Amino acid sequence: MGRKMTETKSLLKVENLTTVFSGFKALDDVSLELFEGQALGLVGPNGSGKTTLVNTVCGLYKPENGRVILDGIDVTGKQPHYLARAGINRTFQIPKPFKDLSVSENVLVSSIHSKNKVSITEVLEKVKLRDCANYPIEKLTAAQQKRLDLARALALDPKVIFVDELAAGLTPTELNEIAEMLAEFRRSGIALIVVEHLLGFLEQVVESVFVLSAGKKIFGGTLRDALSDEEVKRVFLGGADVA
Amino acid sequence: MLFEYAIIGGILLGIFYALLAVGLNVVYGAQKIINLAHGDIIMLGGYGAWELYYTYHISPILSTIIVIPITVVLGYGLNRLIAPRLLKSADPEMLSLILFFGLSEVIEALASLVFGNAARALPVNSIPTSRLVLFGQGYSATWWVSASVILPLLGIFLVFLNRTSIGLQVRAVISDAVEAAVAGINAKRISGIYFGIGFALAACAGVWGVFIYGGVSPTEGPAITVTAFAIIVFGSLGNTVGTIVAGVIFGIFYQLAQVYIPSWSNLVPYVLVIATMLVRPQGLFGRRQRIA
Repeated sequence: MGRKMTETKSLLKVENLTTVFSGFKALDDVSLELFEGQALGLVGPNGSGKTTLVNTVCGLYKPENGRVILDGIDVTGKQPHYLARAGINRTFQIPKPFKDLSVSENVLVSSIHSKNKVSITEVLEKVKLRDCANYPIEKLTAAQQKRLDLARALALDPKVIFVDELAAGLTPTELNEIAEMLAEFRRSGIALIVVEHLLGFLEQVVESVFVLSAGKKIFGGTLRDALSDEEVKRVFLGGADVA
Repeated sequence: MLFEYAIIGGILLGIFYALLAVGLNVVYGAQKIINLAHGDIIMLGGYGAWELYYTYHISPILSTIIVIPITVVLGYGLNRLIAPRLLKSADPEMLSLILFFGLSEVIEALASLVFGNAARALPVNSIPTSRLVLFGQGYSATWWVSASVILPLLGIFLVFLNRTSIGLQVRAVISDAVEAAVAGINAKRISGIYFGIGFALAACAGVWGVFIYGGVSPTEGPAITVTAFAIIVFGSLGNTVGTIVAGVIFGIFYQLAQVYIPSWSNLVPYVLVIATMLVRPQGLFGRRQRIA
């Protein structure tokens, strides 16, 4: 934590991104920048545009306006598989592993298009699933399925991972394990955007947060500052103290 | 003796039915749609074999291989044409049913124009003619030769699906196309290839359908689609191994009906669908869905 961003490389730049659904601006002129090894928390109430931002950057939605720059290359509007191969990866709030594939096959299939070949065993080791390599998906617990989601993202040798509400439903021990894994990812240079409601978990894994409300950025800075920001307090709790 | 004859004959015939249905199952897996023109693709495969035999003197066994690349390209092209439109539609399932129903009608009309309405058959000596004798009973050459060609074909298909990189990607796309795309897989291309493979398997079945059905005619498509649909529902929609096993069981049922109640045997597909829906809606190999 506490890296000097000026010394690290810019990996992802989102410029004035706007996504419109049938005339409704789900994302309105949002900009952010993410550096190598940085972890940014993405927070906001339900319907604030968090998932729209993730889906737009990952290529599932086409933006109406704005640009997405990955490692200096404009990748705006590219298809999801192109972006995944280029290094923008994600996990899902509710993991949907390929149910007819074993645990190791789930990772293997993600590694097929990785630019740098990765060892499936090493990836599974990183998320503590090595002993489950040959399990069918049904044998995994919810927490293990979330770790498998991370493993699949890792198998693509990512530059950026969007981690979508990973903490929901996990025990404190499992949360600590995940937090340690995410810290390890960052040490290897991967940048993280962590979409999360659990502020305690966010405090463990990110150094700054980006707050969305009604599709617009309303705050950018440290989590501590966010918690005392009047606008943030208003959109979350109608003015009550978030902390 | 009759019972043993029905069982062994049913297995040999069932291997053909497995191939007949597996193509429909593959198209379902690729795009989550029921290809109502499936029987018409099978019919085209039959005409392909007929043309290859009478124009170029090519054995139906070799024709089984020749029709594969042609129909993969045909199926891939059709998929690339329709899939984007289906995905943009508010009701892709309904649109696909209408679209493939229309395609079935068009293929049938064109086949009538090109080949005429009368059924065409291939001579029995275009494949080995010796009967297979097992436990004192003789079995039609058509049955054992078709089974001998189809079994390795199904084996290669299963190896492709389970042991190759494209097969692994196909299984991922079948499971969840969005997740597959996020995993770096070009889901549209993989779906298209698999769709084409579905067409190829149908065309291969068509080559042998000329012998099993005693000929090929432009109007046979819809009845074949119904049979294939019954088999994939019985074996669990989307499950390849389930379809193959269900095809063999269907062959046994059909042959038992042929032996003991021949005038009722054509009802087997319909009885099978209704019985599956009533007793085990998820099919033989399906997982039970939890509702609410």
